[in-house]
Amino acid sequence: MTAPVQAPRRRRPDESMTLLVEVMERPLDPGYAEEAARRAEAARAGRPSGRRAPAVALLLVLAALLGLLTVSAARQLRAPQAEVAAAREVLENQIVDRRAEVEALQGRSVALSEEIEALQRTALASQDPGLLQTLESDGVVSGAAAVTGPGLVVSLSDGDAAQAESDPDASARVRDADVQTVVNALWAAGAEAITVDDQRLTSLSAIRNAGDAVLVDLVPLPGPTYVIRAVGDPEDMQTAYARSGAPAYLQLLGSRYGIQSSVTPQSDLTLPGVGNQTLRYATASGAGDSSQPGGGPRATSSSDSEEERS
Amino acid sequence: MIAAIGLVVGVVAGLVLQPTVPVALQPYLPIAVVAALDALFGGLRAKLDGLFDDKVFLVSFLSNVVVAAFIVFLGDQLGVGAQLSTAVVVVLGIRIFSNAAAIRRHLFKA
Repeated sequence: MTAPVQAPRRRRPDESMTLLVEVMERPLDPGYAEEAARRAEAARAGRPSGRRAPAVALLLVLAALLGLLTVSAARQLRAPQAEVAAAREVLENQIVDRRAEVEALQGRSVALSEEIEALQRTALASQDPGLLQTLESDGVVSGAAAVTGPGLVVSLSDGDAAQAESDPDASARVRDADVQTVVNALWAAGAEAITVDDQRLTSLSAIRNAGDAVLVDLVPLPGPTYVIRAVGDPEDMQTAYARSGAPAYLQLLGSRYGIQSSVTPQSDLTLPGVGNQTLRYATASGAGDSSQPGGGPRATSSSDSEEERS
Repeated sequence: MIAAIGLVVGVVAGLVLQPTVPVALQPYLPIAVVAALDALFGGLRAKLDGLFDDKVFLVSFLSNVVVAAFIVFLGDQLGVGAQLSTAVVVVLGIRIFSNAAAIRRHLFKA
């Protein structure tokens, strides 16, 4: 575009956006106009404007090639890609395999910690019965050991609106805060051990939301019903729980969002333990000084480790 | 006319022969198809404007496809492939829209 400029060119107000203006105002290739002008000129001059045979053949071949290319590209893009599906399947298989592996390893870990516990018990029973008792009660409190006994079962269910086929209402779902409220009320009511959907709560457990799912210790709970089991004296717990803020809160959830909840005492609950947890912090125990917060049963028995971080 | 005949021949050949595109070229296919669409709409508009020319159409078609693919290739090499693809799609998309609008004005006088 180096046309000679006759008059002093007036600056366009939108000169800084020439690229966009070019795109918006001249979508047609300028080549068309130029070629048309050339043809008109040729006609005026009386020259034949037709193309010679080789040029026609070349254009035909080029057009055929371009058509072929476009169609095969479009076909390739439309076809369900076998490789993608295969890769997906491989990944799925890997997930299943690894999950099985994790389960096997977890089982082994549980078996081994049971073995350790049994050995510890036999060793300590003869040497230091007091320490053994401390260990056992610590195991219950920290969630390491399985617990059996009477207790309360609180269940929360998503409201009907959350399960609607069309336009499910996310606010009718049970959220982390709801589960937390119940769990905290149960702890305050004197629960000794609590599970949420078979996930035992330890001193380091977290209940939180990720998207629409409630996670306990990073394990997503399937829903729509969340069952919270708490071992403890059912009568005392029921009384204390009723006095806490949780029932009123649940009633509010029920009336506003349709979240259903129920509290039932049970005479026999079995809560799984999570096994020995990673030791994060330990101090040398003084004579007779027992449990440390956050430490597993072994925290008190390792007298030579000053401080240990994992 | 030649271009239309050639394109039809190519399209039919593509549908019948079902050639596979080399794997190395596959990242550039979506952009190439959008560029081809742009050239097609441009050609249609030129036809309705009475400006159509086989050579200009085919050359713009070819250069559109090649340049679009090259830009994406360059972007991939520089690590901005996705962004450049977006840029190409935006520019070509605007052109397709304005050409389609011109075609609409021609066809429906509205």
